Amino acid sequence: MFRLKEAAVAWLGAADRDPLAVPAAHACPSLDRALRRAIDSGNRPAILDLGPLCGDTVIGLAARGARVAVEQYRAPRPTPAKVRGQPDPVLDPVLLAQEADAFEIVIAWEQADRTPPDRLREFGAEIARVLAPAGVALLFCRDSVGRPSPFDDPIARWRLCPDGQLFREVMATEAGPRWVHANRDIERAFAPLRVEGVHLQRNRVREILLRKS
Amino acid sequence: MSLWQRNDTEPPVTRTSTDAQPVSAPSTPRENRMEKLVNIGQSIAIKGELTGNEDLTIDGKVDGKILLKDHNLTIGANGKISAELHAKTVIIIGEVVGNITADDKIEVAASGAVQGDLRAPRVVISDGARFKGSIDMERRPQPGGAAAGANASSGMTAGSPGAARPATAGIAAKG
Repeated sequence: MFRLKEAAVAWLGAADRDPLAVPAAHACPSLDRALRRAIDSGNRPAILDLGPLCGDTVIGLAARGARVAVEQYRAPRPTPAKVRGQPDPVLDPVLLAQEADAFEIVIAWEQADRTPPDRLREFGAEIARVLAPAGVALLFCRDSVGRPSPFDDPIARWRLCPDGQLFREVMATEAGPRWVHANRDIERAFAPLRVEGVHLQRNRVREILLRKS
Repeated sequence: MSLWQRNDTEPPVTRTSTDAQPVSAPSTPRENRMEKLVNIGQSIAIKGELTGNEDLTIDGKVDGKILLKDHNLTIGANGKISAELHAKTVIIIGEVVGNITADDKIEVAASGAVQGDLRAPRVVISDGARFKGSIDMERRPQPGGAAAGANASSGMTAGSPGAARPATAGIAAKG
């Protein structure tokens, strides 16, 4: 019993240090299901990948019959505090250079975590704009167990292998702030979309599926 | 004087009409291949339409349209292209702004940057490459049915450097 407790504590400790650093591959049933549904309907689904770019992933999706658009989303900075007597600060626009209602699937990977909480609503609205009716958006968000937010985290890309497994690959050269958003905050920010499922993966990443009604 | 003397002492070299290759350096397959590659150098800028019947490597700037049906197009590391490209195989090591169509394959190297739509049956994007646009890998039915398809599938060998080409090979630029 004691040994079991000790092992559990050790596991949790390791996970607290850097759970995302654990090289874990997992299947992404939500993406797979959404793709299958779109392809089975007889159409070639349009997919928007918001990056960071992984060639194997976009080509893997295109090879399955999808039309894949790639746009490197640049997360905006948090809204600066207003200074009395100074003009309002100019904000970076949250804008995707895509047409409205254009995509059946939007894969945002970890971009929601890269967006500050006060700009998350704009990001959600932009994803809702580019999604076609009944289209789905997929977010990968970090589990929020007692982590200070924001914290500096290396940028990672997700590699989709031919067998459907997803690998998270940390890009050692790039890092940026990462926020931890609670489920309810994501639900509110992406209000035009309906949360269809939250799936906690083994590597403590929440796979959140949103649908445009 | 010394010049005349040297000529007198050296054995005369006789050249015939069939002596096209340099006498001292017998040609290797690699050299043969290099001879058939056409380069647009780093200092060259072209505006307009570029068409041709042989493989082409561009290291300069091109603004307009490039059409190399049945042949390979390589955008070198220094190449800056703002054009619509159509070739059998397109390899991008430099920068391209414009839509790219390939009958066989598009390959974007790690140092490559593309802003535009890619359309080819096979696409490779290396890690580290920059890309903004869309990818369409749908195989379009070609006129000629199965025969055309067979040619497309064996495109790499048919279009590889050194393969048989039409006698009238050349690159043409329309301003």
